[in-house]
Amino acid sequence: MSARQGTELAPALPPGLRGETLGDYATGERQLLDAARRATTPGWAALTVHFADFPPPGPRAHHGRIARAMLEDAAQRQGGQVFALRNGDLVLLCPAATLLGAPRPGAAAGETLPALLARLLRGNTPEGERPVSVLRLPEGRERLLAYAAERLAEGGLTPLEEAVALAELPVGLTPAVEARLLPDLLLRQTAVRLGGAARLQPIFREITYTSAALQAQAGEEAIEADPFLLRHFALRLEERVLIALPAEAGRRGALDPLNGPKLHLNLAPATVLSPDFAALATVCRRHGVGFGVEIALVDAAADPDGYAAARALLADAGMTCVLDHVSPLALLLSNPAALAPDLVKLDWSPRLATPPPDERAKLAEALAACGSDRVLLAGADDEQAVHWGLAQGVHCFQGHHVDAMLAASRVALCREGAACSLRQCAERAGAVAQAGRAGCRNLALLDAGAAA
Amino acid sequence: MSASLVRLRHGSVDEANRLAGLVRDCAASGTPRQALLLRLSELPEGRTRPHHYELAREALLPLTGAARAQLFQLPNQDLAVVWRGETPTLRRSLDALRLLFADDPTLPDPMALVSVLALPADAEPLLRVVAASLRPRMPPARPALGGRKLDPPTLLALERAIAQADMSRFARREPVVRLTPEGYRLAWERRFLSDAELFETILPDRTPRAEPWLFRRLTRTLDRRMLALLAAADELRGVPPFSLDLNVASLLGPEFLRFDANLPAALRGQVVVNLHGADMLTDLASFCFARDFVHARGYRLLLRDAGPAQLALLPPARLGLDLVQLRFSAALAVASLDDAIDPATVILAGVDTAAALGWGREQGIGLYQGRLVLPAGRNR
Repeated sequence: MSARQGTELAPALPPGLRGETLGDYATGERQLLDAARRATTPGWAALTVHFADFPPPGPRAHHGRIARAMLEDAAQRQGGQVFALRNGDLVLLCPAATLLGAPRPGAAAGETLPALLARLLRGNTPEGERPVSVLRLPEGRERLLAYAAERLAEGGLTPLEEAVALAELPVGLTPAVEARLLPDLLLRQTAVRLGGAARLQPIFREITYTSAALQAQAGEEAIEADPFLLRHFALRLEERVLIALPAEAGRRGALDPLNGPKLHLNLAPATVLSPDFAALATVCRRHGVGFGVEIALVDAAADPDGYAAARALLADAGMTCVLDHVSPLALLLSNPAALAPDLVKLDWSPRLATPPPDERAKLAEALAACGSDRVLLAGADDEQAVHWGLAQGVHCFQGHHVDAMLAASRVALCREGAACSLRQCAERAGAVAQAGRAGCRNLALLDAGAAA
Repeated sequence: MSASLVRLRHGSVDEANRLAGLVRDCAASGTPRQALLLRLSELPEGRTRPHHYELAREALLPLTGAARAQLFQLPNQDLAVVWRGETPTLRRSLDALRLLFADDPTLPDPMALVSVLALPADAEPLLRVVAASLRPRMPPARPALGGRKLDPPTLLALERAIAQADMSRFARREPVVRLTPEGYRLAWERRFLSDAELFETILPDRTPRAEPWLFRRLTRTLDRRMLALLAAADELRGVPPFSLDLNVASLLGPEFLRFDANLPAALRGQVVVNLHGADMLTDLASFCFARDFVHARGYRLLLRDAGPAQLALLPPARLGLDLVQLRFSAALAVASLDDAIDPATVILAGVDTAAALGWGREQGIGLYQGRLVLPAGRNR
């Protein structure tokens, strides 16, 4: 039985619960059970925030912190109690009137605390399930009792008070990254254009890294907790690749800019304007090969003047400028087309296929503003992504599904293909380190991306 | 800057156009006129003080008594007087102009900025000066970031130092003013920690801003210290409305919750949070959560330090922001506000010149920040 079944509220009357506070959240279930047993006076209600229903990876730390602060604020001002349960749920017992009025002076007119919490947490629960529910008491008392008993029976660990200190910096990261370049931190992934007859046409090979690889190198969790640090280290890493690249020309390795479809690197605008980039551009010009730069949306926003200069430099050099890491939310809330990149790299999310009704038209409008022929769908790891993209007029894709399609085309035509599985071929094509490519006996085809 | 200075008449595109019209008429009809031109725009940017502009206008006042005299203040702060016939007041004005920079011997001889012209013969050079006044100054080259860059170990040490240092000495307030018929009135104060002074004090050989993402990380520590300062007893008693520079993550942290819980009722709904565009984009889901949360608590959100490019990339209305701080620049001077932007939601920052103020007024902007605009009665 769930506490989310009741939604009506009764008139406020304070029973003996008013003004009590809980110092020990370790016994939240037991205290909720006691309070539910005593909740016989009309006019009270129970508001539950169902954090336990959030799909993996679960609620973020600030979800719980802010929701708890809002519930405790309501409890203090109106009388009531907050119960923090071991499964992550939060329950507020309070006069029902508390849940009918604005949660705080200055709040949006007419929005109640449950409505505000539901709005804040929208999109985090499975479709059709609300993140909060309200039970009218005493009508819903039996349901509340059953809910509390179920939580008590579940067991589990006491919720820990969160650490509030900023994550310590992984100070050992920089020397480690600089000492070991890099190939085993790097990945190579080919992007394709799907032609009219579903022909696979490789358009570029992006040299990138995985966050997991970077974090493993650091041996710390701190980077994950701090996106600013992650960005800093990622850009430093890509700069190292940039510096190494001219020497790779003609060596027939995974980083050879002369071998196969043009290479793309992820760089900050300032790096594009640096002498190191000019050195690489000279090599590319001398050999008549193309090159592309992917600039993350956040880096463009952090340095708009630098982006404009980098964009102009790339255009003058005949190089491709890709606006990278454009999430569906960024597509909705910002205007990537204003940066006039050659390609907008949109991160695939199932949210794109089933947007909330109020987002559907906005998404279509934002996609049209970019021009679907200038959009590349990144992270196309399954067939659904490719189908969605094609239905929107998008023809450029990158992702594990594309990797598999490319591997299939290679294995089918490779003279050595009988010895390799699809997975081996895909993994070798994505490897930059020599060890990852070992086993392939047709490197020319591997680096070409697909059979011609 | 005295309160009277904020009532100084500032140059505008309109005045430049009127002067150009007058010069063209003289040239077309052959009407003789005299003109005195004072090219204050030739001075190095940032070297003059506001009282120099007032002194310059006072020096030209005798000339405005001449026959058919008209005074023009151009968008780039150049001044021109056009009059008819010979006048003894010219000598008085020139004598006063000689003493214009008497308080600052490092400034050039003011007479090097003065030209006396005769129309219609000198119509062309005068028209060129007027046209130049309508063009923005070239943006300064990107400042070379000298000193060593920040690295993670130094950042860690810096964060620890900031956590223990007395930050109240670096706390600053900067007025945001509203243009009213009576002059400039304080709308709110931006309260912030001066990172430039802080770094100069504790890390003079480094340039933290040269590593933008490490610097952004550092601002989170500064956010915490700022919020801690505001949590001191009586810190917020009786203070005017204010704004804070914060990161999204800081809005969702325990320090902000404590600040919010202690916010006096009179200030509820009166606090503006200034957000950085790149910070918002770093984690848009958290931004949306924080936006809706602080809106529900009565705060207004502002996109800070935007230029034309950032404004195009991050439309404030689409992001659900309430205000945008536009920094005046050469690029902005040749642009105009898009119809989608409500001028009432714009704060024009960097209003250090009459050209900036003139542009803002032409765009219908009502809120300003800068050296040229201080609320009535406030001295700096």
